Amino acid sequence: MFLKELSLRNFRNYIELSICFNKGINIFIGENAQGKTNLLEAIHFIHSLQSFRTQEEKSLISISFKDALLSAEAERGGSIINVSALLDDKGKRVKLNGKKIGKTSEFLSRLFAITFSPDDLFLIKDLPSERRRYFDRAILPHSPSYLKTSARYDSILEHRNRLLKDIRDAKKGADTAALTPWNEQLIEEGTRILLKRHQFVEQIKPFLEKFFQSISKSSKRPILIYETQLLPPLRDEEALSGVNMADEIKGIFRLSLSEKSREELRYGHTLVGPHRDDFQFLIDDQKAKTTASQGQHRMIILSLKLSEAALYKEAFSEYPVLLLDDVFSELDEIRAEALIEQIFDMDIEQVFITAAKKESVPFSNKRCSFYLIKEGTVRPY
Amino acid sequence: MAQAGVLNRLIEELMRLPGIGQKTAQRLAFFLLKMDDSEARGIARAIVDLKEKSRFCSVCNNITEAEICEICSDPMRDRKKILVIEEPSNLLAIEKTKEYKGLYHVLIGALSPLDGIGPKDIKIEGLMQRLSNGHGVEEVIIATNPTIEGEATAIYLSRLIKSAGIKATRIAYGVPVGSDLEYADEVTLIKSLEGRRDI
Ligand SMILES: Nc1ncnc2c1ncn2[C@@H]1O[C@H](COP(=O)(O)OP(=O)(O)O)[C@@H](O)[C@H]1O
Ligand SMILES: [Mg+2]
Ligand SMILES: [Zn+2]
Repeated sequence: MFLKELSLRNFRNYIELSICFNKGINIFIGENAQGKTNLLEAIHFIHSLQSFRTQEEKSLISISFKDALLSAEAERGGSIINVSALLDDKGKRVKLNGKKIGKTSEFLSRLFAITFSPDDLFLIKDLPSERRRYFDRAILPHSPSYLKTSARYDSILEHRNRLLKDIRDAKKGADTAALTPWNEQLIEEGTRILLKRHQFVEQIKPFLEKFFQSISKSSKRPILIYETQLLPPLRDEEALSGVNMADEIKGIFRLSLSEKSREELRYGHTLVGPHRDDFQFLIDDQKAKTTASQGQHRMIILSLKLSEAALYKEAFSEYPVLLLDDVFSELDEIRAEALIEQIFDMDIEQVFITAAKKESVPFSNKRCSFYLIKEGTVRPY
Repeated sequence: MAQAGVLNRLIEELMRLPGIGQKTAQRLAFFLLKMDDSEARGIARAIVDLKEKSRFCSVCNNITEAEICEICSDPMRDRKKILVIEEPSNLLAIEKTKEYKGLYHVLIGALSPLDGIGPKDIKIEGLMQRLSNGHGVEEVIIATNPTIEGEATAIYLSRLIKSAGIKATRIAYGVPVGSDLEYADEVTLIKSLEGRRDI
């Protein structure tokens, strides 16, 4: 898929913009605070109907204006897709090919972007909850039902936590028999989440290793691990797939719940389930969190993004648009060049990259289209 | 401000209704204020009549004007089956199909710890009495909603019913008839697959 045309009105520091893009690698050059990230944010928004920088969409509207309008023409699988989004104090109104759409989830299968932002570098060191959020989002395009499953799981968890507290505080009518249906549902929906996360991590693994080695120009092995108490020990591939695994997880889940039941009643809190899990990056069996360099962190996250793009391509036979913000800082020339080489190698249909100077782009290659960003304007460079 | 006092009281009272917040309550109150006198009284009377003349059936908790509802007192009904639902409105939906000939039991709610609703707060005890009194009930069909609260209620009930030695079944979720498989959401599809049957 690729973006052909983008128009912005009152979006961040773009009061009026209309621009056409080419396939291939597009590079936005500009000094600090000129609107490079803002432009990526707009492109990301058109592909996902949300910002990668903020949940508060009002901040996307240019200061002292009432509404913002984004519209775009993109191509996917040979057919044209028109999207427009109007943001105002009432929220956002989105049209897809001229028709209003209600839920953002209806949009998920249309356009898609994978975005690297320097903020993503926190992922490795951040709290487990941030990592769970990251991967849960990454799973979504591959499993539309995952959103509902997670929402159901969260509500079950809330009910169950309340019940545990009520039992602990000996509230009327709260007893362990009343807990049973919430245990059953926690296991049911929790198992779906565990399976999806496990499958996702297993699919990412080989890509992550390949891309990391190619970008870092080393033979070090990065591994992504889904850390949970509820998966059966890994065996051969065959044993991993299918219904059997779900049954095994349910068994382990049930057992852990009964082992922890006294503790849970003491704390008034659910101590078992995918809401307690984490993801860990290793490089050559060492925790990246504590031992890897800044540059290695960056290369792990970049490899993760490329892996997500590759996985998307496997599933939908088309690459998403790839957006890389401020990607070259902290990468030495060799790694920066290796990254660009890797992107060319994959033959991703369209990529947008921001950089401060033309010279910081590893090779001012004819294969890239350059744009100069200055005070909310864009022109070929 | 006596005037505003009466209006405010109505707004406060309307806000007790489910799904009605401050804004809606205000809109309704002003609407009533402007309404024809007889029409407004009609609404008030309907509420009073509802409270005076209708009540919950002493057997199944359906809404009735008599002690026992029409369905429970109908000799043509199949007394071996009881279909359990959350609300009286669910009963109307099933009755419309004219397919189900058994009895009902309305729980008037579903288990919901977050709302402080436990097994004792919905009409489970009455159901268990109907099963134990030697009334010859052979099957309880659980048709609570497919929400997590409805599902929790179904799981809780099915255990109780089975331990009373009676068959418990759960209605199947499925793809809406007449709709295209392609447009069914994935959760519905998964649930329909899980609930598949031999043909
Ligand atoms: N809602 C907004 N209205 C107007 N200007 C904005 C808005 N949000 C951000 N900006 C401006 O955009 C600039 C930052 O642009 P950004 O794209 O983040 O810079 P960079 O080119 O360094 O990536 C800042 O000058 C900021 O004041
Ligand atoms: Mg920036
Ligand atoms: Zn009745």
